[in-house]
Amino acid sequence: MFSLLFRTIVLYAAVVTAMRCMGKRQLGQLQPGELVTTFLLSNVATICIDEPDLPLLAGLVPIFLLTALEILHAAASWRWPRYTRVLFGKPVTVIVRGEVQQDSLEKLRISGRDLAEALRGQKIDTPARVLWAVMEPGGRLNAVPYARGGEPPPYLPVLLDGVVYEDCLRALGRDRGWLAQVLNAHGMAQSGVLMLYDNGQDTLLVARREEKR
Amino acid sequence: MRRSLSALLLLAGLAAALGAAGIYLGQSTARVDAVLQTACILAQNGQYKTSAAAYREAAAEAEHSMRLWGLLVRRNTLEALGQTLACLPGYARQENLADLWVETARARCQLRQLTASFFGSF
Repeated sequence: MFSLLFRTIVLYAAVVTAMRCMGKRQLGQLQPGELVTTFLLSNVATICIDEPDLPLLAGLVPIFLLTALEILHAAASWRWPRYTRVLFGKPVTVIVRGEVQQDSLEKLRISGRDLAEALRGQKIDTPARVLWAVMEPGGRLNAVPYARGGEPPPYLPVLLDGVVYEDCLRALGRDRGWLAQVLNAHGMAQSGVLMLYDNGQDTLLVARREEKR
Repeated sequence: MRRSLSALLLLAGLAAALGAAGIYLGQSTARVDAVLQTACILAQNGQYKTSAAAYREAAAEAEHSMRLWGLLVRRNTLEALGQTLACLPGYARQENLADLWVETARARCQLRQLTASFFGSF
């Protein structure tokens, strides 16, 4: 019985420490990889508590190993965005300028009913009101509706982590030539841009720290 | 960057801890195995009282090491080993030599299983 108490306390402390080491983003919205890690951590701890026959190291080593791997994975995702795209996929555009991209729906195996339900969840009654909608790698639909009344038009991402969002360029009525002009005007290469947003009237550019130096 | 460094340090710490655990397990099981071998030879030479004392020493050595072994390997493996070692001194008599060889071989095999369960890859 004392062994059970001791193991429970030790493993609880280990899991809390592990979650703290992985950072606050673990406790917020979870990406698929982070969800897997969180489930694995809890399962490993539970199995080790429930099975007194197992050595304590059989719980502690996987917990801290998973923590270290998750931190390194997050660092690799930040450093090499392509790594994340290969592992978890990229966002898929499903609506552009009110037009439903049926090829994308087929690729994602999403029916019209699913799409309508997801739009209703964002308080959008029809795809015609949507300037750009994307299915995120985590399975969530995010939609940018057209501006209403006197509101300024919404900003769409054109370039993020060096990746061009062709569908957003199309939605904004822009093209690659325009993008090249903007980059030239700022004296920057595509790889030097962290984020580039545009709404048809105004452009917001955030350069990578190395480029600013 | 700092978090990546802490992850690498954590990995290095885990590797060091596992390495140290492996070295301790290897050395402690080798010590017990050596005492068992000595005890067996003594029994073969007819020195039954000394042999029984050596078997008790092996059991005591294993019991002392089991505090740390319990963190590294399954408890049922340790329990089986403990039970085998406990009965060995009783067999160190001329009329029980066959049982003594069998149980000593069993104890040595269980020691090898102990290290195999820690070092096993799959």
